[in-house]
Amino acid sequence: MGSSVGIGALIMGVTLLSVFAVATTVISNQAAVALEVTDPDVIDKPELSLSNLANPGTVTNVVFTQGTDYFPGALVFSDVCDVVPTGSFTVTTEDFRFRTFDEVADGLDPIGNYNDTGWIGVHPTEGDYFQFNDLIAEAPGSEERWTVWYSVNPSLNPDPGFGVSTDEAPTPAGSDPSRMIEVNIDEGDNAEQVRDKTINALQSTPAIQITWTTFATDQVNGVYDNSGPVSSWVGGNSPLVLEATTPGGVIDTASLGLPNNGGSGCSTQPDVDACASCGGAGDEDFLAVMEWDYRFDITNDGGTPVKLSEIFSTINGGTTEVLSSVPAFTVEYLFPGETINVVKDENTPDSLERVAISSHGMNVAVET
Amino acid sequence: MADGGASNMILLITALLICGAASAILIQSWTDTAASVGINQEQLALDSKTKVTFSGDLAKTTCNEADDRITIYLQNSGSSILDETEFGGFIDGQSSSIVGIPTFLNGATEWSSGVVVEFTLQSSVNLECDGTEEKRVTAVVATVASGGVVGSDSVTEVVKLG
Repeated sequence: MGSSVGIGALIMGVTLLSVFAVATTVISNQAAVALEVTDPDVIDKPELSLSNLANPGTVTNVVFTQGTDYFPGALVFSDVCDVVPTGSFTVTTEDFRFRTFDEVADGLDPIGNYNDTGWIGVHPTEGDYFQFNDLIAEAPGSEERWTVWYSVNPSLNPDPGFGVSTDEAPTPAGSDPSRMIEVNIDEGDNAEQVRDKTINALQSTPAIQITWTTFATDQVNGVYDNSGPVSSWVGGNSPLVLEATTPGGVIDTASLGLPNNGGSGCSTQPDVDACASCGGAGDEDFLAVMEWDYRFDITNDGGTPVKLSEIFSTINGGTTEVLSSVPAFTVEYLFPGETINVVKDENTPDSLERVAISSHGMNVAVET
Repeated sequence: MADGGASNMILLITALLICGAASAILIQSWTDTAASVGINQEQLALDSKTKVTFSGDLAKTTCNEADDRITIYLQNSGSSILDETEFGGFIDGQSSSIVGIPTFLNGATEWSSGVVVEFTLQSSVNLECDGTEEKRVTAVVATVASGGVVGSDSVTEVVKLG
């Protein structure tokens, strides 16, 4: 009986110890969980601030829509950049084409349609003429007026017979004796012969900055060596006819160039104009194409380091992305009191309007 | 005496049996209780490690007026790993479905601590994305299962669309 009592007591003892052990474990775990709940293992909201938003820009290109009567020259940018951009523009080169006609005897003395058609009963003494402007430089004021006049049968001069030339160089307004070109033609020359004699005379005058070529059988084409507006043709009293003119001075390219090219540190989009000495109709319309970089500072105003890779930025309400800078960050954390400069080398066409950063429930935004 | 000895023996054996049975029941009961408490404790512990926060620009939340969709960014601010497929979104209390596949930012492949995930929510009502409309957005997230339990958290923020 004594042994039975002992066994019973042993059973109860072991049971109580087991229950006690289980209860102790439960209480221990509960205490641990209570501590975790009291001090949860989560990341506290950091305290960050944004400041010094900057939006430096660079001009990447210059586009244009129009512009007439300009000489080529420099582009002038308004002074809104740390380094002011520099560039230039070009304009079209004018060319014109005129038609010659047969020298036709009219039975009168002197003969032909290359003599003064204004003759009325008075013996004409001058040949017919036409004028054009040369362009000796790509700048206003570089136009020179040349007078080309026709002398018919000059070899017979001064024979007073039928078909004899009594021509003299005309003196139209603006004539300069040093810029007179005499074209000798003969009675009955056809248009092609007149054309060839005309172009020979023109090409024999090397001072002229125009390249002369023939066109068809009766036309002369002149292409200016220099670009710019010329408005050249004056028909005079000649039978010649202006066939076509491609205008010069129309802006056809604009580009950035040395020394500063697109400049840097532009606070706004600079205005672009043609240089003051480029003449023009005042209708030029240049536009600077920009790319912008974004800069701002982030300061850790809290008491714990913040991992940079856990800060996310949103520019102008766009896509949210992890904070990055150019060049890349060399540190991993932003410690309390530290300020880090973020350079977002976005090279975007959009200027900076708003920056937002967020990290673990901290959201802050600043607008420019 | 003999009768008294036998009856005492019977009583003792009966007591032993009852004692053994009671012990077994008591131990089993406490074991079950401990297990149950343990699960609850793990749940509480995991919940305490689970936290989600809004990221991005709350005042200019990306919004698609044509499709009535908004894009939100959620950051894992806890220490447990969240399951991006176990996500619930609500716009002004109305349940909204997720459009497309959630996208991890910064090259992450799992929603671990600090990682931000982009979600696109489909609204059941028309949205005005002109910077004037404000919506109350709620996100509910759950962790990946750990020890048979899943932690969860939710966050609500008022955002401005546009």
